Amino acid sequence: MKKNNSKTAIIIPASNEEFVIEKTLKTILSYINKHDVYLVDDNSKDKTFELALKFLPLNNVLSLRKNSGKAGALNIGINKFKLTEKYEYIMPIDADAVPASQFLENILECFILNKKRKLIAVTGKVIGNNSSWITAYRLWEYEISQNIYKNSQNATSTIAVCPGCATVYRSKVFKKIHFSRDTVTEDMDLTFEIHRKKLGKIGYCSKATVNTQDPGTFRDFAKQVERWYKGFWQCVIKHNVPWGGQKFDLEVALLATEGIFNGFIVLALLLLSPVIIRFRYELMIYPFIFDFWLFFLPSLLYTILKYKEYRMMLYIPQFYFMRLFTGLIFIKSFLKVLFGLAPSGEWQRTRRWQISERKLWLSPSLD
Amino acid sequence: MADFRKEIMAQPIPGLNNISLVIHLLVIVVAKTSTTIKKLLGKFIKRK
Repeated sequence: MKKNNSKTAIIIPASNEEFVIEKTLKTILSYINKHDVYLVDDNSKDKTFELALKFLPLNNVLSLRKNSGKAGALNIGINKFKLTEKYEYIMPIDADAVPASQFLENILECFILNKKRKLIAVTGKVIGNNSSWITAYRLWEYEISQNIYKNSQNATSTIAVCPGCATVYRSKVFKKIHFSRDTVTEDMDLTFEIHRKKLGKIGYCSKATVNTQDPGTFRDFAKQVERWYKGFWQCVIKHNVPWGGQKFDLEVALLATEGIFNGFIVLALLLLSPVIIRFRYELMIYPFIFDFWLFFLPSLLYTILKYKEYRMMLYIPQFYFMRLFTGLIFIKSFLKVLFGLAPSGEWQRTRRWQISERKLWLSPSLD
Repeated sequence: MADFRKEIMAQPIPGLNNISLVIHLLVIVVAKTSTTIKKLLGKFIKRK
């Protein structure tokens, strides 16, 4: 049923999103009034703008002639449409993200039920579309990061990232701070800023779900992970973590420590493997015994049973390889950020895909 | 078996790469337990 949810504005920044924008808008507009949905087209070269006009009123669509980046497009949109004056809540959303029909109700309920906590933002649960072994791996990653890490961060009010596709903010947030172009992960940057400026607490509502697209190829997966990790390190340096004296610093430091250990163990074993295999080959196995049997396999089995995706059992070797591989990317990203080799502010996203007649269609490369 | 155990414990940091995960799990257990205790206490007080 369509609702006139005039308390909440949905704003979509879009750059060359013709592959996905139609489906996203169709789904959103099936339960949200079109007058509450806004789109900022950031100098698209494809039909994004025309497609948006098919679904939204002219006054709700803005076309930028100069590239402003995702953060810039969101800031311009929020200002031009005067969303902070018109609405109590603002939900920025990615062009490929499709919130469940009950998403907003669940999030708004969370704001109300947690009145005492004075929530400034509530983030929902991200669910990927499982269509290949790479997206299946992401399904497992999402389960761990949200069921364990995010739930724990929610209990201690130290949520480290409000995903760009699944968060509703009180509009007053954007009267005080804006999306920044300093990093490649503007959503994480904004989350760090909320903690630093003590604007309020961030809640997590696992009942509110959003479906999003995950990378369709291994190369795109690696690029996306590298971008996320670069963004993480950029935010750590920009916000002077862990020296801010907040609970949140401890949380981020803990996450970084774990990532660094993962990466260095893999790196050390790779570099020393010729020596180790020659003299003590069993040393190659030990570091992975705890990780594989006590953490990886039980959590993977849990995900498989939860989603009834039994074919994921076939991918256990690939999944474990991915786990080690992402550990290396974490270290690589750290070094790139440290030496100033990471870009910021531009549109950095993976290629979109459509499934049509059992074929996977990838949008053109953004390189 | 004893040798095997000895070898594992001789590793510089066995399991430390999952330390954050373990801490987060513990936080969830503590948070859920305290919520349950609060609820039970609330019910108990109401009855009295």
